Amino acid sequence: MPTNRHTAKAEAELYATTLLEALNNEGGLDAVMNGRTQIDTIIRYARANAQLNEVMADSSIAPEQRAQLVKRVFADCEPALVSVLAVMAERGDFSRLNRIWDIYDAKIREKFNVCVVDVVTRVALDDHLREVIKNKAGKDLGCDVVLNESIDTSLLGGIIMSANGQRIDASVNTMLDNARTALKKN
Amino acid sequence: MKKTKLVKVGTAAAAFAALQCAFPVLAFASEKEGIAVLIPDMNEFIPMLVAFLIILAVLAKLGWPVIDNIITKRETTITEALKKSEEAQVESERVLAEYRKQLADAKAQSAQIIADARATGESVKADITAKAQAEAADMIEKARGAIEAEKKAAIAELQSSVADTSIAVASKVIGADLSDDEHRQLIERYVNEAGSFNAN
Repeated sequence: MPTNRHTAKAEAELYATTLLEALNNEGGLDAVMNGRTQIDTIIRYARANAQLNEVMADSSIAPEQRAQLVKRVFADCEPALVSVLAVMAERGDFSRLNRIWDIYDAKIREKFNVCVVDVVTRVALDDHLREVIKNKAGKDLGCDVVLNESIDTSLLGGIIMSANGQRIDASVNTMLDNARTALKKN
Repeated sequence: MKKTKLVKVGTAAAAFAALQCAFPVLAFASEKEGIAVLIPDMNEFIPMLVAFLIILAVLAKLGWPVIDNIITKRETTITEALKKSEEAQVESERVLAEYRKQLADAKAQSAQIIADARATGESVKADITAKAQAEAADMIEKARGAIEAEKKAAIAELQSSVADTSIAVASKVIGADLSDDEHRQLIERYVNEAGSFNAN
């Protein structure tokens, strides 16, 4: 007899698979990667916006209203992603987006044999730098690498790389923090 | 008894006086010369001798026992007084010795009490001194600890402040002075020097 936990996992798998297939059908790997980036952005937005979470969890609001709200808020995203998000909101599963993202990321690796490396820097990467990062990450992870680049001006310099739940923080901020800690200890 | 004896003596004396009156001695102008002057006249000597003997006998019979008795009594009294005096002297000497002994005991006892009190005082003084010294040492130690803690806290605060200031300056220098190309060079260097994903 399936438990709630197994049911939830199966449902998350279903959402992730559906989303992956829909985005792949829409635009191939580019759309898949674009959708991945958009899901990541939505997760961070939801974390920072408690009101959105409250609305999504509020049973007094009709499911159709929640779906409409999601469609309006995330209208600029990939159409397939917006459709899936609307279904999730309608079914009250919006809070599972984080778990769905993990499964979706794993499925990208399985389906396309690529590893997505999230790269955060202060300045935009050039081609040479992209090649350097891809070579290093591909060597470490043993697969083709797709970079998901983002600019963060709060970084003083350096780079933060994340892939498969692992993170390499080579930012100047972290180095200065380490230096600060070392100075204070001494 | 005494009275009777006195009456008897008086009677004897009265008889002697009557006898003297009965046989008056005639006083004549001296007619002797030379050594004859020293030789008593028998007419005077004999009555006087008889009278003397009578008086002597009367006194020996009646007066002397009384006198002897009085002397004996007096002697006895004096002897007893002397004896009592000696006994009193012995007693007083005994009492004096006893007092002296008691005084000596009291002196010894008082000396012992003073010595004990002095020893107790010294002991209490030593205890108080030791306690005061221990408390003072404890206070000094605590004060040293507090000073040391304050010193460490001040140094730590200073270090923290210096570290924060240094990092802030470094942050501003890096953020303001590096160009995009320099940033990219920095990124490349960090990527090459960074650890592996497999190592995490």
